[in-house]
Amino acid sequence: MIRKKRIWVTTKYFCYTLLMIVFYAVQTTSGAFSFFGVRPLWVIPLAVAVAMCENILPAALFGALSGLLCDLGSQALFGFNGLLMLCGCTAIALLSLFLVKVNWKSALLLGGGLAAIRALLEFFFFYFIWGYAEVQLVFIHSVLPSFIYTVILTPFFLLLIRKIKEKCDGKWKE
Amino acid sequence: MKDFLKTKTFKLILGLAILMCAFMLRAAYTDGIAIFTQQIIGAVVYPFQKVSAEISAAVTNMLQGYLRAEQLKEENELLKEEMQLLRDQLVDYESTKNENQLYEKFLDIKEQNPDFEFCPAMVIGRDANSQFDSFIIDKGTMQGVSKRDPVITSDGLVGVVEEVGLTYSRVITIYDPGLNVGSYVSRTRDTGIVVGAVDLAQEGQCKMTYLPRDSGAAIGDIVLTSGGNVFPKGLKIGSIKEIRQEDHGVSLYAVIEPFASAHGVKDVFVITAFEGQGIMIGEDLMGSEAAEDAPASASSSLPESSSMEAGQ
Repeated sequence: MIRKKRIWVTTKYFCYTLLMIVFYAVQTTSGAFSFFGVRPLWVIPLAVAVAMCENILPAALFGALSGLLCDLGSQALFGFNGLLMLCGCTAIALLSLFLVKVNWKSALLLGGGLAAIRALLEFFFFYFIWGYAEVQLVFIHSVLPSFIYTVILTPFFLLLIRKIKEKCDGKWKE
Repeated sequence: MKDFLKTKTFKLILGLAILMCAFMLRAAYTDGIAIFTQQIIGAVVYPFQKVSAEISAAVTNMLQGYLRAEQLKEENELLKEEMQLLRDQLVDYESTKNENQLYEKFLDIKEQNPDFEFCPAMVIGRDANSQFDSFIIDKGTMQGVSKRDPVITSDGLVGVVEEVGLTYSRVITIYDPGLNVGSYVSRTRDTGIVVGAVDLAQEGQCKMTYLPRDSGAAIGDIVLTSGGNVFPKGLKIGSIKEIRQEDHGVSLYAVIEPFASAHGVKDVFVITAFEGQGIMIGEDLMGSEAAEDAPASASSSLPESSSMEAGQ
């Protein structure tokens, strides 16, 4: 029984990791799933969905991984998004365990909150404080649409992660 | 909640948070050289990125084929007629001609600059967050690419390597307001600094600042790099589209339409070595470029506040 559980739990986390890497590749692929030049950050809703379905430690670990992947493909200081997503996903996992019911509405709310904090901090540190002219254009034409696109994806990822979790946990609970 | 703060899980998460802070400090300290963890993650995701980029390119080509089916059909019929008239011409004449033109351009660059060493690279990723079209290429330190190496296409300058890993590099483009390129107008020899601007980047343009008020530069003039430690002399940047007066009124600036568009670029060349290339240790990319690449006349005419801005 314990061996069976270990195998299926490992399989589940392997699936999450693989999804994270695949969606990172999609995120950094030029033109993939781009609408009017706007592309989402796929790994953020994925990490939020994992945080809502799993315990605190896996939530924190996958949050940190998603953040580090964001850092890898962006101009951000390596670790900036990692730290942010680590804290955010831990908070989401705690909220999901003790306070909030896990459904698509809470996914939109929690995912939106975390994505908004991340987008605002990144805009502030990487654009706003440097005093570029017409910096508001960056916010209106890029940060905001990308944020909306990212948030919309969260419920779909919640569905996907729930399916994987049910499948894997169901196997060893049989 | 109080109980959670006493658990092992909390201590582990706290440890992870400290690790992230250490990553940030290390990344800031190494200034663009990918740290070990970054290199490992980069190496793991690199094959996925490469496959994803290839799938995306294949799907795009396939869709374009379907979308342009009607047009292609007409072209095909015309070509068939043409083939009947000119039996001795090869069917792939156009593609061969295009390829030849592409290689001729690179040969031109190589012949004009025998000291250049090129490293061909493929664009494998684009930063979804970047407003200035920065991208990731599939060549890194293992192929001899270093930080600050210029990146070009056959049309001209695209950008510069900002961060380099073992098998990948991140390139910032000339649309980025943080990148300054010393440059001159080929016809009038007026010098200035080509720099990105948020509003112009949206339209795929950048600007050449610090043009003297009596500059004879005009629309259509070609702008080239003036040379220095980071960029070799004579790389084509773009043509002047418009000349405007700076807000402070001391100098002019020109809106530049770059010859090489960084937006849809798929294949680039990294100039890994050229005569006069040198790395100024202790100076950051943005600041040193303005100082190194900008010709003396342009540098001397910079107001103090502008120099600071260039050194972000």
